[in-house]
Amino acid sequence: MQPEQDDAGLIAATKDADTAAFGVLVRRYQEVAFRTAYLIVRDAGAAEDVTQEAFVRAHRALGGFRASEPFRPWLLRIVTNLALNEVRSRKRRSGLLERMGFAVGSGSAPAPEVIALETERQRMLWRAICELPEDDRVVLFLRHFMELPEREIAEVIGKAPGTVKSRLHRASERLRGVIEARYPTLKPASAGGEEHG
Amino acid sequence: MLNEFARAFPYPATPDVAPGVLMRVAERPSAPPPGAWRVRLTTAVLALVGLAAATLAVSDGAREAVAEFFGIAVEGERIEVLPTPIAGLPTPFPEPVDIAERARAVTPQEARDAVGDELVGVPGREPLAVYLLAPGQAPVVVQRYQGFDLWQVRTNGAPNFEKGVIDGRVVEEVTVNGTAGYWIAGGQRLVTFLDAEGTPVAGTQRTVLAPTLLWHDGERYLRIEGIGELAEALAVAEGVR
Repeated sequence: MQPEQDDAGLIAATKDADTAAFGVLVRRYQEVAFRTAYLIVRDAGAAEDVTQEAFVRAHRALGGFRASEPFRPWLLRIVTNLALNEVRSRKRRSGLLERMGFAVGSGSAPAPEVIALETERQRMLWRAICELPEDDRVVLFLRHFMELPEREIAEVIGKAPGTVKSRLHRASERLRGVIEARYPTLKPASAGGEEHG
Repeated sequence: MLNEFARAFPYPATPDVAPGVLMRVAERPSAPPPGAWRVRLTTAVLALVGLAAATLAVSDGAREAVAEFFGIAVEGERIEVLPTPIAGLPTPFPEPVDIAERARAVTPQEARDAVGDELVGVPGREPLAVYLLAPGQAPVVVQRYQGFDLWQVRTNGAPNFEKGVIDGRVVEEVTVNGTAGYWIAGGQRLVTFLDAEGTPVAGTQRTVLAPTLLWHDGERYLRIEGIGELAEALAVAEGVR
């Protein structure tokens, strides 16, 4: 019966110390959480850590969560912030180690995975996306990869829906610019600017 | 094409994180509330990096504590869990140096003026000296007592505290007067001040050998460095006023 409960019911049960109810929520949203994290950190292990941590933090913060609000964007906001922190932390760690000339084991600081894309066009498009600023990438991931509506994206990134629309437009234009400049064999019209809405 | 690409994106299989999440939730029912330190603990600047030597055994609890420290409790402080160095290879850390060599000795009044705050103290004890460090964004007052240093920073909201610890270093979550705190011990660490942009300030790296207790009191970040036993450090910390 529990898996059929809506989010609000599961959240209410979780607040009443029903751990199993939270387990249902975790399993309901772990795929979207993991995939969002993976797009940002580009490493399956790190994405798993981020996902687990996000649910733990969500659980701890659930007391202040309003049952009338949708759970998914709230969770994805935590996921996104943690994933971005992980990326920044990696850069800092890397810089710190470099500055120190620190001798580390080769396997101890895994590089982001190489994502197995089938065609050269896919690889070019992915590289083009990865060259975008962080803010642009995040809104494109949420809109086109996670297929979130703009109002949910607004909740995830903590901005007004109108801002999301303009950010998506800006991100698409930038993607188009990167493609034109660096991957001209990908047609500019395919950058996706007209696809969102 | 972007939508088509996105729909066919080759994600790895989604791991089932539910068991791990539920285990952690069950283990830590009384964790400090998120945000308790978030705004306040965003001042002074440190980076702690452990060395290869004397790396302690890694317990799940220690890892958990590091993760906690890294995350909710001290947002604004950067605590990096660094990879374990290769045993036997030299690590280019500077020789340990007394903070007195890097700081300026000041009067208590000068220290108060510099930090814009009253100085805390340990009842029944008088500081042997008072030092001021200001290479980073927030001035730091260090009161030297017999056997330990008491650091005090008034937070200002800017994230400029960075810590790096080797995976496996002892980092224990503690409570000081009802507030979350951390005990970091086990081998050497490196301390570096960062500027307002979060960039390490050249020449401020300092190797630290002594165990450290960190906690927060209102808008003050406090730190005791030099007491070897956690129980003793906690007893001193809980008396700090």
